[in-house]
Amino acid sequence: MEQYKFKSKKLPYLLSIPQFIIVTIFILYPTYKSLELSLFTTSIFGGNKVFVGLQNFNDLFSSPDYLKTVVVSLIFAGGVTIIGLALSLLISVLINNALKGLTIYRTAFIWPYALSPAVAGAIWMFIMHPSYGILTSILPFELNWILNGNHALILIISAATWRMLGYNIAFYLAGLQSVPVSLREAAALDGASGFQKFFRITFPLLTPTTFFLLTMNLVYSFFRTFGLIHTVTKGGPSGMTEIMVYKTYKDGFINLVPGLSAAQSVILLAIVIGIISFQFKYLERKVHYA
Amino acid sequence: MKKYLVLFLLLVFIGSFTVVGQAQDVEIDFWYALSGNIQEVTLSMVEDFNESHPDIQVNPVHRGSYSEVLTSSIAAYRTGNAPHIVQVYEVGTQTLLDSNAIKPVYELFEENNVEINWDNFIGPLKAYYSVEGNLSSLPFNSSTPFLYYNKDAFEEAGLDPEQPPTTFKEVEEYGKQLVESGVVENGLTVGWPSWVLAENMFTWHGQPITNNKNGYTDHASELKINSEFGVELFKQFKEWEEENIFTYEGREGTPNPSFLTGQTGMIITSTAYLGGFKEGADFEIGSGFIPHKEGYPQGNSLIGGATLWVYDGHSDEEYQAITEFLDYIASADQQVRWHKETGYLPVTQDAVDQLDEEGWFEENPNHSTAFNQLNVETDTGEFAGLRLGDFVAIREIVLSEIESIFSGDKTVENALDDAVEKSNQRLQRYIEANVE
Amino acid sequence: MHKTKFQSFLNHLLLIVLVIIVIFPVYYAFVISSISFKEVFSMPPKLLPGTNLMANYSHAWNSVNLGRLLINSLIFALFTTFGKIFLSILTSFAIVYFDFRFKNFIFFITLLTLMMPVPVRIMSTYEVVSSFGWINSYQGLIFPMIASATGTFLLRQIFMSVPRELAEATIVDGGGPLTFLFKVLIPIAKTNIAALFVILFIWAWNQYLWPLIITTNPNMNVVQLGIEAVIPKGGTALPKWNQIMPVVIFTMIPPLGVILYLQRSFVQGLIEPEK
Repeated sequence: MEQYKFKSKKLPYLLSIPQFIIVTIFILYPTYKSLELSLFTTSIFGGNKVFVGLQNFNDLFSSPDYLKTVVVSLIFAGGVTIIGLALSLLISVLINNALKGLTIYRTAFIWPYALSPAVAGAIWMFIMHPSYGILTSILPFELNWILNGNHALILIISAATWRMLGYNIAFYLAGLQSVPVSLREAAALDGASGFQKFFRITFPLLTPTTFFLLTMNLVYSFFRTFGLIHTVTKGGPSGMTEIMVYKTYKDGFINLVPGLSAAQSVILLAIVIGIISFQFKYLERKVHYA
Repeated sequence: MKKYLVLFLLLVFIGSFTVVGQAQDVEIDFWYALSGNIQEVTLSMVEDFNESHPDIQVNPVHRGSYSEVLTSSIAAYRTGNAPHIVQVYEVGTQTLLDSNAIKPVYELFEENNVEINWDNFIGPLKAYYSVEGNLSSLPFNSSTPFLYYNKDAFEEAGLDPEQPPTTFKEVEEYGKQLVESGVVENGLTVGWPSWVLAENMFTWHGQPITNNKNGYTDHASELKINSEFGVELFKQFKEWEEENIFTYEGREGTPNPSFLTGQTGMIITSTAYLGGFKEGADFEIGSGFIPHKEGYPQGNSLIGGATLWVYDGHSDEEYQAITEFLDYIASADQQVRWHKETGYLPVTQDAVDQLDEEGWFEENPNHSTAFNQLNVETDTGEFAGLRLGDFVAIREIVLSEIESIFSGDKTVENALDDAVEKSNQRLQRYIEANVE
Repeated sequence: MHKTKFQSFLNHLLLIVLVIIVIFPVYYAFVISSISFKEVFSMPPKLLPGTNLMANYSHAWNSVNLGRLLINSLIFALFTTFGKIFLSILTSFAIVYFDFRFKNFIFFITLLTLMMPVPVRIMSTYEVVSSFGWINSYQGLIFPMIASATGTFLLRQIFMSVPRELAEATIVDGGGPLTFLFKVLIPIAKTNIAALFVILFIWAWNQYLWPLIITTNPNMNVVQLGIEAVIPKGGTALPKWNQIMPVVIFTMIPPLGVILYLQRSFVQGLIEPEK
């Protein structure tokens, strides 16, 4: 269905020009300047700038450490997105089914969303600390994220998922509340069980929400969690929690190697284009107008 | 209601554009990274300076972590907004020396006719930050690693609480006894693993870390930590780890709680934690030198921490004020106070003497351990320090490989070889970008 | 609804367990903020609030000039949020309600560049802002942050689902596109805008790196930097968690307030507007 179109030649340009100017000056141009550096090796103070062609990319792709960040990013983003969505869908359905206390539950679950990823990380780091963490002292098995890379991944996935829970639940609750009760009652009359009802009626109606959240969670876990990782593990142990954006940040901002960081930014940009195209192809065409 | 809100916001917005500032005073921006109680001490030192120098206004600005301070100051310098003084960690030294953006402090004092006795600075400190014998930056918060041990645990395990281990053999012996008696879970851990194990352990045994005298005669281009000594050292720690004599507890200060909660009996880490340990531990703390491995020469330990750098491009008037401020920071009175309140080493001999006269070291023997260690007689001549291009990245590479040794992912030889190979590539790239 | 009492009980039980798990970290942060330094590292860990609450909170408040930081954060977050909403409304209105040549280009560029992580372009952005002489100013702090991909994207979705008859009716009544935007569309999307406000406000409130780089005047620092300032790093000291957590709790209050205040809208506004 097409939205109504006003007829004006100038107005749409006038309307979109403010955002376009901001984007061009403060984002597009600087991004271009940063990416340009991927073909150079430079001193950080800007004195030297040597064109090196694809050397930075070559250094990256020949480095097992960089390939590891790709794998770690996929596990991390996959973990945060899948666990996050499944858990928040479950919680939202439970809240929606609860006849009483809806507001209270909703409030309680949205709460952690108020924290920044870095602060969320700091709290989890404290709770799961191998020496004095309260969780580690209760758990029957050993949990040592300082030395064990898998445990470290579990820690940051937990913290990142936990922090995003409120956001996901809010969207799912909104989606659930727009599922007409009459539909579900009709299904109940047909003798469908709770599970059948959910998978036949509710879940398909939540598909647009799910796709939207999928994108947002991927973007969040790929690009917005470097603060968390910086607070908690700094990418360790032995690079087991070093996701791509964190390495980009580290090489550019801490290690002061602009060229290498820029090359990684180019790769990240390609991923962003991928995610947006995916969004357009599936969410826009197939889902929304279905 | 809404209208008032909008009006209020508008007023705040407009009000915020009006810059508040006092005329006349020479304003000096001082960017630093310290936090917690050390930040408080720094601020009160600056405040006292401002009060005693009515025509100078030093503005201390907390700029986040060490790396954020350095990076943001570089960004500021590149756009002509450089601060006057910036606190930079020791791993940033080479970057700043190569930057052509700084004014060496010895030049500053010379040009502004402020007399200062450079020989008064503690030898190893001066050596670390000097080029051809002249200090490039002013040592501010300096530390070195040494051994802390839990005296109560030693006693309980039947060890002499006044006798810390001095050799690797004793570490093994004492560690075993501590663990087997059930007093602690682990014998020993280290903080700042790369700094302690891959840097200090090498110089402490007279072993080079890189070519070109650890980067002091020319830019280092080759890491040497996969030497015979390196392999032996890490194999020893790995062996100890399997018997719980050693435990790897993470980066930077992360291992501290393991020592503080009594789970680990000994820790080799920065002297700067002394104050914090005294406050946080409910047992008595002893200290000793870094244990020495038999069969190798006696070398020296290395400095860590940060120094104050001055950017170029400011006015004569401002440089005069900066010199006065740095002179004040280096004065014995301020250094005595700095040391007592933070645990960092005082940077001049005058300050050490003053502390000695006051009886401070007698009352606090742990504080003198660090000085004795720094003044230890070496067999081989000293390594002034370690200077690497892209030092931050290289420390990270080495750390990562150390972790893969203790997690069992790599053998000692493989990990050290990988560390060297990766680091050499970075060193090479750094030289390409900055030197040639 | 056909539900037995048992099912309902089970449902609540499960929810309560989950609530406890989700809320626990925040509760525990509060507990830590109320105990003494030695208790922080003592075993077994404390589960109930201690007696140092007031001491810790007043120390936290004074040690980093928290009041000032909170006000700065509020100014930064509010202006950024309003700016983002304003620009997103204009852009998505243009994209949805007009046909013009660069429509898709503008939409794509907005999404694309805004999804680039902040650290990637931060140094270059700094240089641009500096060339305007905007270092240490609120305009330098705010303007580079007020474009919004999330806002443009969400509002575009919302605007597309508004019944087209509404626009037609406005035209019949003799109104133009701007009349429609301000008199019809924005009032209809009020709830959605409120929801967007929550998301954007929290995003802006949690910004750390940009405010850190662009402001060197301590009087302009934001509260996230205050948290950073109390967590010791490097060779400094032991983390005094009992004094760090009060700062964390203080910092949480404003975004939490926004969530609670706009809670109904936050959930309802994420779906299509009320018709």
